Amino acid sequence: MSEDWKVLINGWANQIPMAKRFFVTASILRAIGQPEESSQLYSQAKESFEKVGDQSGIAKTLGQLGRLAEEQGDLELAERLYKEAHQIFERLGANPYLKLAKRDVQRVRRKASSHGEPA
Amino acid sequence: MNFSEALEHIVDTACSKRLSLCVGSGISVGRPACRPLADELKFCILEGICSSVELRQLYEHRLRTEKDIGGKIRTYPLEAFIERISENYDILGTIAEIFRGGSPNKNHIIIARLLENGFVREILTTNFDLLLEKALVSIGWRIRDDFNVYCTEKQFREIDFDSRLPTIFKIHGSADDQESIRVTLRLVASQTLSESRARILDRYLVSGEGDILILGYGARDDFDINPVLSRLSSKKRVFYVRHESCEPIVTSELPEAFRNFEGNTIRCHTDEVVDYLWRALLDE
Repeated sequence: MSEDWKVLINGWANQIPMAKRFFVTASILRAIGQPEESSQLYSQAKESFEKVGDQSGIAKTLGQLGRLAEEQGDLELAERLYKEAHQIFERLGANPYLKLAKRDVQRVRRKASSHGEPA
Repeated sequence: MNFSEALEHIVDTACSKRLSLCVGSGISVGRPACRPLADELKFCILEGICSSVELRQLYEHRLRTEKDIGGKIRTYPLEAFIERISENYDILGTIAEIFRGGSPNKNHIIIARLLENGFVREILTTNFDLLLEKALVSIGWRIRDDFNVYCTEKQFREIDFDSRLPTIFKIHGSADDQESIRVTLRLVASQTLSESRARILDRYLVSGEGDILILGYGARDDFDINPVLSRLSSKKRVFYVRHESCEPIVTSELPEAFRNFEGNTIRCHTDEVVDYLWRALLDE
């Protein structure tokens, strides 16, 4: 009885695909303010998504890496990553993330131009 | 005020029907309830996610509870932690299932008896679990006929504060209403306490007189409850029971979130307080 909840968690965790494990852990680390570790894990998530050919996963991960770069002030890198994500979402066609990716690109461009950096 | 005086004061207030009760996950740990504390749950989830070879080392060296990043995870609210996962991989069903389980323990039964005997009329809880409701059902009460439970945003907006029925306010939602938990997770992750929930805190903790007894609550809801609490001040006296396996000590310091409240922290095993309430109020 006392361990029943642990059994439920283990059952849940066992089903998580590898790429999602990296992605979820990266999201937690980003939330608690560990950008470097988070970035490494997102990169590993991207590799794992690439291995299984999950284009949507790759694009979402690029978006998160872009967000981290933006938060760290690397607007050039952020824009490159957002654009890459946007291109994948465009190729995938109708996708709720397409709009978000476009918004990310526009935002970082605005930010870059207000900082006097090349857009 | 010493330990005996504090307990007598709480009992006197209960006898005069002016005792409010706030409870957290600590009351649902003991057998046969066996529900997890926030930290236990967070680190069990994390260990599960990191059980693959590729993440094991990171978990062991950085993420475990006693490691550097583990320390940051400990201070990160459970609800926000679950929301971060939930955004990317469904976990809500599992969380709800965990908190639908377990059987009421001594704490739940005694609290149910306090309600039954009219010593307490309202309970405020952050717990998702259903153990207080189960305890009330076990003594023959029926929901809506004998007691009310509020757990959704809609219910919080439409509370009948004039109701004569004893009431449980589940301010973070309830395991039998997954949507209520989903809403809470989003609110906490965005560092918000809805207006209707803040109104409950205000009414419950500020209005009127009496004492507030806090059991099994870590006062670590830094993203939603604590910012509201720290803006409130009250004539009510707070008795905050900090669970420790030590000789009972009463201090005049309260957790930071209660900085505008008068009251005491009682450092002791929570059972000492619960057992005393049983003997003084219910053991005929």
